[in-house]
Amino acid sequence: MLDRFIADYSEKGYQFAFRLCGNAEEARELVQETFVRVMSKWDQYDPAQSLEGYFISILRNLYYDGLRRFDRRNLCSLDAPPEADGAALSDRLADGEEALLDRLERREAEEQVQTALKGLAAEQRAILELSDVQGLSYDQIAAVLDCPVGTVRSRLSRARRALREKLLTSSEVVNR
Amino acid sequence: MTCDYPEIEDCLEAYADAELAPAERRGLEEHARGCPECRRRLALALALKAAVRRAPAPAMPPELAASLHARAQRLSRPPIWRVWLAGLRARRPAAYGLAAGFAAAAALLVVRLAQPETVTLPLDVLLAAHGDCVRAMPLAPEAAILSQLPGRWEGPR
Repeated sequence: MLDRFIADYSEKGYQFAFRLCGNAEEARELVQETFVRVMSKWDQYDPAQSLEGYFISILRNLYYDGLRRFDRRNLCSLDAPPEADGAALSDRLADGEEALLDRLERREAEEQVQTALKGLAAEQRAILELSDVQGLSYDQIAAVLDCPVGTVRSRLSRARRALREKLLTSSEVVNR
Repeated sequence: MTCDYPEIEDCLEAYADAELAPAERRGLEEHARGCPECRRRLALALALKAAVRRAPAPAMPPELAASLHARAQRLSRPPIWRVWLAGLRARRPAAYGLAAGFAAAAALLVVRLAQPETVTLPLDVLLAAHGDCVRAMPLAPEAAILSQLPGRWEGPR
């Protein structure tokens, strides 16, 4: 049963861990620690919850426990208000959206997207991973992150706005 | 954004995430047909979502999978003493029975030794023994008793 569990979830778990940590070494350690934790606390698993969600939530909590112990710089409050410069910036960025859309649709911005993703805060990368890569619904993400659905929607919105702004800002620099 | 469609930002993202109810979905599509700004923003939301999905994440290293399987095997392995007992039972049932008997006897012995020894005597026996002691032990003056002690105690003068 454990072998089946590893076969089913280790690949997704590793990719999620990689997006959180940003490097292979930490992702590997995080996945190993998560598996040990899941296997040792098997009796605490509630079958009503999806096993994938249970696994991902333990992985995410271990990641943030580690961050809290060693480095608070990467934590950001996703519920904090946007920066004050928002209005002037969004006016400029609106002009670049047409060009960005064109590049995205022609798949000419793949590298730019990857760079912009790396520049996001870990929690923003994590929620985009859950929604856009793993295809979880708002309800499923809420279960993984242990927060209301409304919070999921607002965090996703902020993460996407941050990603869009990074892409548009980098396009601005390139096009000057 | 200048469009006055209610909660348009939330609707655009929810549409891209397939989280809108069918009626809401139809309503937004109808609106987007006549609103170039919303049509562009909707296309951008969908294109961005697809681009994030395409962003590569490295495959899991094969040695990590192997390490996890090895760890799972160690965690599911029974304790060595249980393995030995199972083997003994299979190979030599009589020896297993004897070993089990000895183990039970040893456990019982340990329990008995750990318990303090208590003796219960009937009351009349206790009282009779007390009376015997009293009759056998004379009431001696303190000095007479103490003078029998070893050492150089000289008693009160």
